Amino acid sequence: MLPKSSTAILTLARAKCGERLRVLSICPDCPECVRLRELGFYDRAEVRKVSDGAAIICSLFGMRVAIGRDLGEHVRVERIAA
Amino acid sequence: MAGADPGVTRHVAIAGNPNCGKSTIFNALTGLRQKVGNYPGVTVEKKTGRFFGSHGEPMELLDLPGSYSLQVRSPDEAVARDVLLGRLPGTPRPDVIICVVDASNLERNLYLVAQMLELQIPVVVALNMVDVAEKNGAVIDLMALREKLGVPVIPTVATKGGGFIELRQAVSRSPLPPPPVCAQMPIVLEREVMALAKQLPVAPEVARGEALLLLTLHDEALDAITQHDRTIIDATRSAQQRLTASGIDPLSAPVDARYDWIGQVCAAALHKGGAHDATSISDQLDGWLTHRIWGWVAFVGMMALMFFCIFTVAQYPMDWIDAAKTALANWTKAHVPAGDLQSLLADGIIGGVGGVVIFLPQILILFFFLGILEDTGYMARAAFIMDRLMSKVGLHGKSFVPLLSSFACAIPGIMATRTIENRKDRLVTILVAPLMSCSARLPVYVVMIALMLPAASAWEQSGIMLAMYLTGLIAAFVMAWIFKKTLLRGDTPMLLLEMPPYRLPSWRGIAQRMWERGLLFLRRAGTVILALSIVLWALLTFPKPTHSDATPSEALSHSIGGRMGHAIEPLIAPLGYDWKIGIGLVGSFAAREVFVSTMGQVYNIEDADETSEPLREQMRAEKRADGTAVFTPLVCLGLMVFYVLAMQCISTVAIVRRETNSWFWPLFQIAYMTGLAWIGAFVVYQGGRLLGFQ
Repeated sequence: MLPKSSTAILTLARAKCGERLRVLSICPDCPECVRLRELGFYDRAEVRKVSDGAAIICSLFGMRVAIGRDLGEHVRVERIAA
Repeated sequence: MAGADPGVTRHVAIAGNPNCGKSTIFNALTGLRQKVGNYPGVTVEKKTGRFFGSHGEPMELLDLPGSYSLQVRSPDEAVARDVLLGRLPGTPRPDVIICVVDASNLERNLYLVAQMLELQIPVVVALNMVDVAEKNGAVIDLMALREKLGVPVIPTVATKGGGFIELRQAVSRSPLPPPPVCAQMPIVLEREVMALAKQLPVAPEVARGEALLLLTLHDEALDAITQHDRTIIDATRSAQQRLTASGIDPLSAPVDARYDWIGQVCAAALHKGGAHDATSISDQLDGWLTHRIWGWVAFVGMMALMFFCIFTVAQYPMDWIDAAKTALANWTKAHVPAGDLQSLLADGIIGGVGGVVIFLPQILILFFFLGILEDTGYMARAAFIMDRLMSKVGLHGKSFVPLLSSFACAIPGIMATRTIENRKDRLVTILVAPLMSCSARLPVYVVMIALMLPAASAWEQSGIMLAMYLTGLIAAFVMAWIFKKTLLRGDTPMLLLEMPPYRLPSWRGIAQRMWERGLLFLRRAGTVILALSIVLWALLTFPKPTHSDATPSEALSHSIGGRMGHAIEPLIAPLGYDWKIGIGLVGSFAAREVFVSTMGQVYNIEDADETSEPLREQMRAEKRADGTAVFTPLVCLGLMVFYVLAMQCISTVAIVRRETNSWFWPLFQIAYMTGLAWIGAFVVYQGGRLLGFQ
């Protein structure tokens, strides 16, 4: 988990809706994280946050994946310049 | 490999991600030459079928459960992995794998292909939905893809039957070469993989793949392994520690290596039209269907439509089946001499089995709707919507689908829990699924509501019916919360769900699934009910009274069933029930829908069903010794609550036994649900009396 003051690198849960993001790393401390990686959230993958709420919907490779906010906190991302 | 069946020249497995069109291709290749069974020792459904190669040679096709990876997370995925590794007894390791790939989602689907190629089994890639990919603006260079993968790649459009001839030709080509290993692992990792592979007691061709899977397992998953001894597990842990010390994460490095390879493949073979990030129709629909308010409106609307059809449209065929059942019983009575045989055939077998067959239209309509929801991609959205609610009781949104299915019948509902990855969450869902009001409870509700409020309007009756459904739903949520806090304590699972793009449903596929499920329902429930009907008939018939002029009521009281009713009377008296209701409870212990016909036998009403006026009149007129009515509104309400909460279904017990592979859970389920039902009925009856109701 990241401190709230971090801006350059943030978690997927804290990114804004519509932002294009690059995955930097996934904390390897839960089984869901391995599956998340296998679904395409590997290091350097580009994702776009499509929807934000109780859960997050992300777009990667043109597919949509819904992930819980708690899981989104395990994914470190950086913004990609438009 | 092809030795299991002498006629079969090749065993072919069809594998792929969920929603890639795998089953459509399986159905198209095999037609109706399919067999549905179970893998030995596990409860996952095994679908096999016969198909023929380009020269007419017979081959067996095995439809593996959809999986994202061989690093498994659910019982379904474990079966796919075990078949491919040749671990499942009775299922030969496939000679060829048809790996179905969704061309419109090539990158993600190639991940499983990468793992398949590591298994050293000849692979044929069926590049499905090429039409959708083209529509999305993607151009796939087939030659480049074949070259990069090193295996045959056949473009298919499963829904339109395109590419099947070429697919048959590719599969029957002989001999198919083993695929090249494509994803290059880091050297340090590769060294550890090969070292571990040498220690594994498996065939050389699967050793590398198996070692790679072992090295990428979490600590907990390693502890849960049963097919290898401790020395292998310890060797794996040591290898993982050495890798970590040298800066390689054993869990993520293979995934990253495969995606690096996928990146190279796609750079050469996939040219995107830039439609990926554009707002698609699916996105626009998701804007509404996953919206925090409109999403719920759409969800409730769809559920209402489904239940409306289940309870209204199904009524017509149910009436036809009922009429056929009555005609058959009458024909039997007219042609078989009066006596025990006639009674057994007409009342026991035809009445009992007919009482179950009558629910077939509702089951079929349920599967029709479930098929549409699944095929269109809405089911994932429903799970997404429900996840917030389900997480409040510690469950995943995926638990919603089994609970929804259980509104028609708990059997398919419990079978649908196989997609839930976490064992404890799956067990909790299995334990609470029978609390959903299934269609077998309907006859009890209908009779009781008519007795309780004979002059009630249709809206009032519907209101009470809805209250019973809500009671079951609330009870399921409360019990799930209790189980997750006590017996099956565990963290609330994190939501991780693919949202497939919206698609038009495959009507043929839906019809085929309805046919399969209908047959399965008739076979499973019908056999159990047939046996039960005979047993129940015998219990209510024997021993016969000693004097020939005994009334039917005296004969019933003398029977074993009657004696059982008397025996449990002290236990049910606090609920306001007499011994005759006790017979109904005992008689319907194995199948709740039998309650109405049992009461018909108790009150000697021929052809009793929920709409039978003579039965209602008889029950309404029934008096206790002190002259007060037996079926007061409070007793009727209590009985309905009892049936909402009680297990009363031997078919469900059998399926829970199979799915949990244990007798503990079904017995525990019977105990907790019967206890809950007694408490619920007691609170209604005694609480109502305290408040001055009758």
